[in-house]
Amino acid sequence: MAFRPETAVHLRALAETLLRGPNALTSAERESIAAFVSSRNDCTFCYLSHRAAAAHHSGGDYSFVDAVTSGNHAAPVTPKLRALLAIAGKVQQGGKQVTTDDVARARAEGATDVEIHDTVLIAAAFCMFNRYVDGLATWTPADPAAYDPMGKRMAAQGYIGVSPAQRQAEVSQAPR
Amino acid sequence: MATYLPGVVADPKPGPYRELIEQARRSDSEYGRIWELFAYQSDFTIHMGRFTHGLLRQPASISPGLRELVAACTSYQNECGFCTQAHAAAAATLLGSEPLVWQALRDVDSAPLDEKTKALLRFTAKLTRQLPAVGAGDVDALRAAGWDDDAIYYAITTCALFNFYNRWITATGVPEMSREAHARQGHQLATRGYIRD
Repeated sequence: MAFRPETAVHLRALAETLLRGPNALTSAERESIAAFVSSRNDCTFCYLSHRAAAAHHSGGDYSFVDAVTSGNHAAPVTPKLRALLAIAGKVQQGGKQVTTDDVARARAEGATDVEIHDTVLIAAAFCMFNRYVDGLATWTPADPAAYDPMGKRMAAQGYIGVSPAQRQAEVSQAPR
Repeated sequence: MATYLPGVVADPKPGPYRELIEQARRSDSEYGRIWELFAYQSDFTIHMGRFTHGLLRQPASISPGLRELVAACTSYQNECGFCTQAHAAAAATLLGSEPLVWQALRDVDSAPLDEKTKALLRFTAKLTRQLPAVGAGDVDALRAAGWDDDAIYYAITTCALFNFYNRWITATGVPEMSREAHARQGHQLATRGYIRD
């Protein structure tokens, strides 16, 4: 996001509000939705970095986020989150796929309109971030372990005021 | 026609979008129900408005009219009626021809556009519909067609942004407005832009 810093500053503010701002869904859940959508969009950089961030909102444990992204939505994924992920998956395919039945199913599992809206918002936002990153051919390591320090920083410090040079340094420090 | 999330519609936060909605209701005029989404989560949408305005209007080597056409093309590919109407109208105002805009959306090959613009619209459609298949070769092809990196950056980022908007508003059930209301609103977008705060 170095090319046009005045654009990137808004994108980072969006990520901060969406993933770390006050919300009924936990940051681990929101980062997992981000990783889930990015994985469906085959966007390796977003998938692996938000997977790592989700894990570091759970003390570095990857089991929750991996259950979410695998599509094998058994425990620890709750029925409510499962219904929200069904909506997120449809948003990834295209907003028109989401029907009032999907919304009713999520409500029946205990999701509020606010949580449904925020799920749509995060899923739609990652359909943006994924195209931004893929279209601009951002540099992308393939090794999941390379993203662990980045995820740790994303979980602890967030998205504001991090330079591309700092992100690059995080990945080069990662265990190989 | 209601949107899918009455709990969101019923809870506008104080700010410019709530005022716009109240004003429209008082004068009994049609308004874009995307405003209800903007009013609901103002700490997030204030950034969206500024980001959208900068992306579509700040000086760059691709004109605001063509950026609006990229926004309309993305929305057309995603079958988002509201955004297609809104940004086709804005593009028509800025480019000076409504029939040209609709022909570019419906059939880029036959539209009376130069090859450079056609290449940009074909790239926009591919990034929207075939995301993982987009690669450095596609960007090289745009360069060969005569676009510089600044223009390509704006096109990619505009396309990415509308892949967000199209999903956000179709999944929450924002309906299209009448043709007249979209024409009026599109002219407003073309002349005054996206910042409301």
